[in-house]
Amino acid sequence: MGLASVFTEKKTQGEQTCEPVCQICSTLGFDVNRIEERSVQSKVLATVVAIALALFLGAIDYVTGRDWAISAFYLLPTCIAAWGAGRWTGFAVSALCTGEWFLSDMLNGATYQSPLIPVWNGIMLLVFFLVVVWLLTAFQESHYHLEQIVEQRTAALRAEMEERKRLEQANLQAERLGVVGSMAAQVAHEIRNPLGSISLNLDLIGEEVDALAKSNSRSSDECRLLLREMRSQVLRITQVLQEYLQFARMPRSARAPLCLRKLLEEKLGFVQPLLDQKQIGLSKIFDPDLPPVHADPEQLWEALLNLIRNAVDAMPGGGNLTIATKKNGTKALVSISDNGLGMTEEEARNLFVPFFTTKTDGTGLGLAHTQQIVNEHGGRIDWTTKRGEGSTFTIQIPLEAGT
Amino acid sequence: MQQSREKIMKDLLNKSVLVVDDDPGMLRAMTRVLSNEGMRVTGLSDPAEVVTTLAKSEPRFDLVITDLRMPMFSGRGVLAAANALPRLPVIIITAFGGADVKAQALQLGAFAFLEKPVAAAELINVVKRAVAVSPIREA
Repeated sequence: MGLASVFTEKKTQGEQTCEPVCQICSTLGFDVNRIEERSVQSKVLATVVAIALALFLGAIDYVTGRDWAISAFYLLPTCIAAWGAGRWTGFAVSALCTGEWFLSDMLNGATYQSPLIPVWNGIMLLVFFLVVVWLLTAFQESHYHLEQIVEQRTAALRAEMEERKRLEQANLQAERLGVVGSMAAQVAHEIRNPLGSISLNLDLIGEEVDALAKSNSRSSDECRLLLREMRSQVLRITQVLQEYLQFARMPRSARAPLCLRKLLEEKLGFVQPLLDQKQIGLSKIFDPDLPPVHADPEQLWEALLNLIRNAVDAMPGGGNLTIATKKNGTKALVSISDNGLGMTEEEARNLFVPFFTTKTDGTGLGLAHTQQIVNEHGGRIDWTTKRGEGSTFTIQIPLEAGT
Repeated sequence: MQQSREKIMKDLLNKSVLVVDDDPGMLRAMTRVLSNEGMRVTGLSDPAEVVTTLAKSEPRFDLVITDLRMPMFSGRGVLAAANALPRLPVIIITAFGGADVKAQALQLGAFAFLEKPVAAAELINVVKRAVAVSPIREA
């Protein structure tokens, strides 16, 4: 998988914000089609309708003669042209209507005391039309500006709501982790005391068994085997407790400028034997120009190692692990992709929920801890997954300020 | 194996150790492990008695092993009480571990810092080293 595809696949929440905004505006009764964006077709249509109507009215005006007042109806095509095709078309249709009125007046053999009177009447009519067109388009324009402002504010409000929701969720998560963490710590400590006693007593039994075997000259192999089994279980509990405690008492991160490339090159060496054993190929696509990040090397590696472990577990039959770094604004992106099983919807939904695990020997704290670390660093985790094709996790970590 | 074992026995034989832990199971287990090595063990599950026990002239302790977080009286208190006596090494063995706690304990003068659960061999090893730095005390 190429670097480009690794990053373009990333989920972004902001992409679809425009559509709901439009929906909201239309439900509120605003027409969000911008004037500039109005199609040429609709403009032509409005113009054609306006001219046709104007010609029709002109014909009626001529047929009905001078006694029937028709002139007010000319407002109809004028307004249609102004609203549908813009101010200048409106002006043109106004002129056309005035001309028609004047022509039908003249052709019907009007006689006035002064020859200037019909000209004056025509000018009056034209001015009236022009004012109407001007007012109508001015209203339309201000309406459009209002729409725009509403649209902008709605978008801003929506962005703010999204951000607040995100923060609220982050806080909730942190709070839950805090409660879970202190509980985990309490439980772990409570278990460690009896476990300490069990461990010592096992050692004592071991000595006792050896002594007995020696005095009775009998084999103690079976007993030793059983003891070894018990010790390995004690060790397993110890390791689980260790993980709980690590999660519960995460120290404040000691952040400093850190070269991601160096960290990864150095630490990935330790992972290599595991990858070899699982027949997993490693592709490294590191951005050579990536500035240093602001991070605690041990904690960041712990977060990345959790993701790498999950990726390895997702490829039980071997596969390819891709680790890529990239600069993105003021953040560095580190993505870890596998071409393994991918996640089910349920797994994806519970990704960061503490104690949720799909592994038989997992504590369910790995990803929760990873998220805890990334949050502590002011970063975020995004992910994509496809059943049967694999998953990609991307960590964003702030770059060192001033780089 | 037998040889090193005897050597340790010799190192620890008749040494006096005060073990403080509010968890009775842990206290019993530690007492048994250390007695098996030939040490004279005084176990205290009530840390409040630490000061009076240490103040007594008999027995004189070569070593103190204490838990860190206990009700009423913390391992820090034990550490402080032990530090008041010249060259009495203190081993802290606790369920409440962590790098920062360890650093703090060592800075306060603890000889060693172990996290539960600990293997008998490891405990004995550390005890042996601690006793080696402790001056020989005649009973």
